Amino acid sequence: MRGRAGLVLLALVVACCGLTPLLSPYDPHLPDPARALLPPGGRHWLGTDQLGRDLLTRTAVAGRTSLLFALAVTGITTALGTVLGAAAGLAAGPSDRLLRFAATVALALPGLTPALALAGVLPPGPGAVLAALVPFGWVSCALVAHTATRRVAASGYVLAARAMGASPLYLLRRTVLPHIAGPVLTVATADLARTLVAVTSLSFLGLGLPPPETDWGGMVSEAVPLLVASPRPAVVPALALAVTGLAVALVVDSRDPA
Amino acid sequence: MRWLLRRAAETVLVLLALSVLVFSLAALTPGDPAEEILRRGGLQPTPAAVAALRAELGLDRPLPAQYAGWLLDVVRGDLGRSYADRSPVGAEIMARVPATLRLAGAAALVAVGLALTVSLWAALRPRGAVGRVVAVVTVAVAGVPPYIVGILLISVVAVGLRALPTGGDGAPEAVVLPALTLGLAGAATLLRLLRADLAQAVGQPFVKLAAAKGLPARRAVVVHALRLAAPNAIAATGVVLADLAAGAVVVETLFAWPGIGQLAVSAIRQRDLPVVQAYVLLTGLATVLLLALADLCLTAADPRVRRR
Repeated sequence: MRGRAGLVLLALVVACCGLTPLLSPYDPHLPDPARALLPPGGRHWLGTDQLGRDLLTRTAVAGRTSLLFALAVTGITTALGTVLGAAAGLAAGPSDRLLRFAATVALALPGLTPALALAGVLPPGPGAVLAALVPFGWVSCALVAHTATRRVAASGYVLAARAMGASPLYLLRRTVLPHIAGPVLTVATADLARTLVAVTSLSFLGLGLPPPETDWGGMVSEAVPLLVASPRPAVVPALALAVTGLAVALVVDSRDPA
Repeated sequence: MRWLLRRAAETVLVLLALSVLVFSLAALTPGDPAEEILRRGGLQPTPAAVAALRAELGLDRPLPAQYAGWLLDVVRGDLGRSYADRSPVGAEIMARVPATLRLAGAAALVAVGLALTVSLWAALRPRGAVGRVVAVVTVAVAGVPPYIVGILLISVVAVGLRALPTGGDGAPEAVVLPALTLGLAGAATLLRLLRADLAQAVGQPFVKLAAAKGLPARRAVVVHALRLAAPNAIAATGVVLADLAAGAVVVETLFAWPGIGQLAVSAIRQRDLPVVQAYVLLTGLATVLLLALADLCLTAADPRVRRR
């Protein structure tokens, strides 16, 4: 029930972010100082921001960027984590311990810390955002894939396939992956929520995409200095991100067996 | 005892791995640090000057030797000098530590205090509305980044109601909003765990027996059920507090709080590598120690762990 509500909400957000830029007559990046901070209503449904840009269009475009980056990072980390975790689970032995140790080290750098460190040395740009979030992002997925693989690897049909001389790749593709897809999908949804937070947080700190490209975090950080005078330009993207986060969290919650 | 030794050895290994990662950040940085320092000092990076500074910094030695020297310095508490103004990084960080500790401490109080009171409240009234409302709120808070919670808090409490300052570290009450912002996410995580475990513990025969003996329900839940429900939450508290410390970066930036996080963000924008390295190292060290401490508390609370 909650999961379905989350999916519907998420679909609405995606539709808004995808369609608005196509239907809107406004340029999301072009400033128009004469129309700065117009209230909602009339030709600007959500009003305009401090530089006179239509807030609805800009929020939608920023949302598209936020979601695309979160999806791209999660896609890469999920693929990487699944393969590494499953391979370690199948091979067993030292590779198990290596994975556990990598996970312990990753746990020692919580939250944004590794991404901040990498963003601090790499030249800014879209590639840097990916490079900052991928190196530590795969661990959670790898751990889940590893645990699930260990369970599958002990079963009869994997043993049978091994006895018939199946190659490791075949084992992975045909006997393991179909059985660990469920838990991997669950952790991928949770990772999506975390990555969305991380991507927008980097932009909020001014370490994400360089302007004029922007995402929700970047919009919020641009509007924070005038938060007291006119909170709307900060609150609109903040609410958009909150609704999206809530939607993903609802889906995660419904998939969580606990 | 053997368990303790193994745990200590693992901690040291993790710290070593961490130091290698932090050291290798330098290798990822494009450009030559000696050239960078000279240019920032307003000097012409002539080949001779660069070579002299490289020798002074030890950059002409092989990498393993550089690492060993750097690690020795770090262990002695010498974190190098900032690129920006050549001031010692250690002193700069230490000057910022109290502010961050104050914020993180207040946020930890929010997280643990809120999780404990609400979960005990819900456990005493299993069919109450509070429990159901809380379940929805924890899910919502878990998905929303802290700075968004902060923006909404600022616009309602500070701007709308004018009840609290929007930022800075001027007045004692200025800590309330940043601490709430930082603590809520952790509170949600802990609350979720503690609520589920408490609900299970309350159903156990020994809690029912305690109540049947005539113990007040409150005592049966707080004393008997909580001890059984605590281990998962204690283990999670370590992670939650570490996340808190890491999340301080964003919250400090939003509320203009003069802590380590703010220093780190400005260092990252200025590409001041030694400061960034010191920040990452300090966060890692704090996290490792917090997790170890949580483990120790766990063994104290749950003797079964020691036998593993």
